Amino acid sequence: MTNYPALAFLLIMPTSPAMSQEQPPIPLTSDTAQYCAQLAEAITARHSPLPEVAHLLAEGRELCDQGEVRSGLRRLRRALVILDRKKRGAPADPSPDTSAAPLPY
Amino acid sequence: MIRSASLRFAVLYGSLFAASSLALVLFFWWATAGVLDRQVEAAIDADAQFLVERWSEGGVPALVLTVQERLAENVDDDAIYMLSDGLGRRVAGNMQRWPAMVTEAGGFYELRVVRAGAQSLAEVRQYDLPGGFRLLVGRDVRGRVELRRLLTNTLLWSVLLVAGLAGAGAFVVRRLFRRMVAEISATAEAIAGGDLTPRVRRSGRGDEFDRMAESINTMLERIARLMDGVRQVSNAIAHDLRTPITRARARLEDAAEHAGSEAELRAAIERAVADLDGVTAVFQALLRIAEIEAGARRSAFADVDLGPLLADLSELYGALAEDRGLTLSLDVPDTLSLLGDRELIQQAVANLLDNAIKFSSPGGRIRLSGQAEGRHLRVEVADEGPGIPEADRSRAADRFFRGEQARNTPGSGLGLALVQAVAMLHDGALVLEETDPRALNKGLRAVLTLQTGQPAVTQNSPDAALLTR
Repeated sequence: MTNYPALAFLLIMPTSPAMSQEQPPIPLTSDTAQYCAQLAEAITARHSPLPEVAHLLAEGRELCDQGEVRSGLRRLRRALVILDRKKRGAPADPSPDTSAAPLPY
Repeated sequence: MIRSASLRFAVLYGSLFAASSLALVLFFWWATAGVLDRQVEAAIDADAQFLVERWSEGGVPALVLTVQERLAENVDDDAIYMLSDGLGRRVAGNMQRWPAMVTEAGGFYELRVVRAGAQSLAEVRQYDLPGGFRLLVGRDVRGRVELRRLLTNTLLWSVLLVAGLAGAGAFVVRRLFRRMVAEISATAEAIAGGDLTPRVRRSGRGDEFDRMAESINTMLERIARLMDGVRQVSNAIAHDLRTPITRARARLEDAAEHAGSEAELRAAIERAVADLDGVTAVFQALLRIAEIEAGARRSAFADVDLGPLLADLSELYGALAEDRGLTLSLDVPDTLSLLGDRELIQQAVANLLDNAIKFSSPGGRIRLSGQAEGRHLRVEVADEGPGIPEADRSRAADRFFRGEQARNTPGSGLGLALVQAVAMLHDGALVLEETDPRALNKGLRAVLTLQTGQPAVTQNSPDAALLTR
């Protein structure tokens, strides 16, 4: 069904001068299976004993393997956030965490 | 120009309703979709500020590490970053290439991106760093765009609904207005056609329309009363003047046919002239009453002391009363001051005394008294005559009214009308009542009240006098 109100609104509202429909869309590289694998590797390298992290890691890997990249990435990112919070909760250590694997990009 | 007042009201109502509703919708839009836009831009600026601080602290490596951390922990999956060097090569971030349209720092750009194979919209901003480095910070705004589209649709449908309601409201307003005007118009047309009986119908709700209908009906009642008065006066003039004119004509005709000498002819002419003088006197009295009622003589108001004036009248009419075997007594203080027309007051009291003498039987007593009562002066003329029946008292001051007992006495029926006009001119009243039997024998007491100060400027009329009484 044609969305007439939205069409009418588009006609009367000024379009942003910075927006151009002529430019080809730019791919984002943080939603790929490759990035998924890199995040999983980075989590694994931290050797976290936390069961929650392990669970999210396993789920994330499985979803990425099934092609559900964004869902898998969401879990892996949550695992990373937990690790990060855990790290911040520990006694302050100004030295960089050399044990951690480098993050992608 | 719209020639229909009801349509103008309807258009005005509809326009006001639509304009206020549109203003509300625009405010709602600004407070929802606008807030979302501003929130995204604020998040981008805050993020960029943090990244620039990291650049300041640790240079390119620190900035690259922070970008990587941000992307890795971006649970909402909406962050967009890109750091490029002076040659335009990508150093860090999740954009495959620098967007060609983003050329200057400062402004926000909206561009299309591909995320996991699906197209999406992003809002980004460029920040220039030392050494030719450029930082791009942005957010995926697809969710916001969807929400904005939903809001837009809702608001546009609301506008259509409001327009419909405004139209319906305008239609109702127009019908209400037309119904009210039609009612008044129908009544006015009937009255213009000569029928003074129709009145504007009231709804009984007591609203503004009812109050207007009541005002119109009151006005119509008054017009009807005035018309009745004019009709009665016209009839009275025709009736009362016909007699002397007919008599004069008959005398002249008789003299022309039967006068035996010049002396007889002259005598007949003189009697006819006397009859016609009576007619002229009646007209003069009518004109005088009309002049008094118009209030034109107020400009001649001056301080008047009624004490000496009533004493003079008592002396003047005392002789006449004595001739008729009557006794006229006076009970007036030395001073009774008021602001008024001396000549008219004198005429009014003289009319009352004249009536009292005319209708009293020999041996009767007449009393003229005056006293101050608050802001009024009270002048009374009481006699022992036959009085006026109660049923006739309310009409006794009407022009040309003559009671049964007055039929056989000379007079025009304008004396009390003039007294009442004088009373009204002085914001007072004329009251006719039966005398107190304890003080005098049965008779009539005419009470004339006059305000002592400057009377309020009001339109005087016989109707007003009746209302005052």
